[in-house]
Amino acid sequence: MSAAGPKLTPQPAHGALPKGRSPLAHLLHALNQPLTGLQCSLELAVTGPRPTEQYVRTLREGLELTGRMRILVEAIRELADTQQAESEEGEPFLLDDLLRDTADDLTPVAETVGVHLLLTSHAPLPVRADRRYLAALVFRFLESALSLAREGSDLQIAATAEQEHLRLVVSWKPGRLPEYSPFSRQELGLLITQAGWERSGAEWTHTRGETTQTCTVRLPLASPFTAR
Amino acid sequence: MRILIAEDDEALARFVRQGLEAERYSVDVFSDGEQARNAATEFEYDIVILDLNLPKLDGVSVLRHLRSKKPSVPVLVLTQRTRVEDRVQCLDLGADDYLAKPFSFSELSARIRALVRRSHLPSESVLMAADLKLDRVQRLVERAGRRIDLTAKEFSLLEYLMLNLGRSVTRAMIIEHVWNLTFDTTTNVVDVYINYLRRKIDDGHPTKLIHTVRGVGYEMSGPSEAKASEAQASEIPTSEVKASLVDAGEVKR
Repeated sequence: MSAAGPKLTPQPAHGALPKGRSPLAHLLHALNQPLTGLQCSLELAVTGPRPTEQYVRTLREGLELTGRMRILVEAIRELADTQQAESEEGEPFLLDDLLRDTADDLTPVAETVGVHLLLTSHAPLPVRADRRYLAALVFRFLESALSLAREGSDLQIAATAEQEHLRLVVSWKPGRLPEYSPFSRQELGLLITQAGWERSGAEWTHTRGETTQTCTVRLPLASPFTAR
Repeated sequence: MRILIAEDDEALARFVRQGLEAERYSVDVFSDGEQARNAATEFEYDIVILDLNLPKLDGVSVLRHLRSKKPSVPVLVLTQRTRVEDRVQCLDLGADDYLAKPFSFSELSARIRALVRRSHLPSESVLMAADLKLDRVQRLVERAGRRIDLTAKEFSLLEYLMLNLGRSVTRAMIIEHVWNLTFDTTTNVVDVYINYLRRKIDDGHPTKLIHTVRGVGYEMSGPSEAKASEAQASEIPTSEVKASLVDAGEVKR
């Protein structure tokens, strides 16, 4: 032990992936855990005759482990696809409209978990991108944040124009850490969202404070006169 | 009902065949694109399940060939990719549906049933289910002669359920067709909208039309199947919807 006392391993922030590896490498590593569990479980099951209930339990566990692997495999594939894909320019459209539509879509869902969805947006906010792609991206972004927000708290969405850029800030008070964090479907959703925004030419930052998490997207604005 | 499966992974093809045969389909499996193309052209199939990565002749070429020779046979494409643009490309090429691996057998089975049904339906502008009427052109919905106001999303959801009258549709199918998303959602957005729709469509009517199919998804009953007795059991209480929101991913399947 050094004079300075024991060295503490830095703990990742709430729901964050440990630093040092690419997200893809983390996901591939995470796949080992359920895969090993499944292999051991199946190996044990075939070593000798067992009561029927035990086989049924093995099968149920196997299905659960397969479910976890499936979430990871889908995330790996989506991340790899997103990182490889070329950004498509697309036509200009108004992101404020898209944000409003998506927020409207998710408001009934937010109500069922007691999260207040608060959208404030400058208008117009024209961007040039593949609209369909961005629609899916915005939905996933807000939906993932909504799933991670604490019951009774606010999910704040603020979109503003800053000179030639659009600044989209989404912040929430995190609830209980989801099962299998940081590899839960919700957190992986945010990770894929980040890759998607970056593919679309945006800058992404995710800050994890003691009580609040904030994701900020900075995307170039298109000329307002060409937006539809 | 005869199904052609073009899949080069022997184990996967075997599992799918076993599952479909258990559902009383007659199944032919081909492990390369050439064999699949020849069989699909020569024989009559009710549906073709086509993996895109096939040896000898890739699935896209098989699909193009099939569309030129047999334009009406429903084709379900199996693929490794999930991006929206990949799905659109497949549908543009003439596929009727698209399922990304890994998939569950119940998902595949539900999609096959929906496709088989769709291929036998005329494209009607007015859809009917018991006393419920949906006009796709006027965008109007009526039940027992009374007009029902729906949001655009609720209308699309109801339209999709009515297009699959009497057949279960999975949540993934609904998310793809109504929300145009190709990933599993993290919230129970489908369940919430179904509940909204139920309130508008079924509340106050003795015959309930929207049913929950446990382990699969939802189903709108056809005229002869509308059973009031099933309805109460199929309702999801709001508290249950709320409880299933967190990590609904696999639980909801």
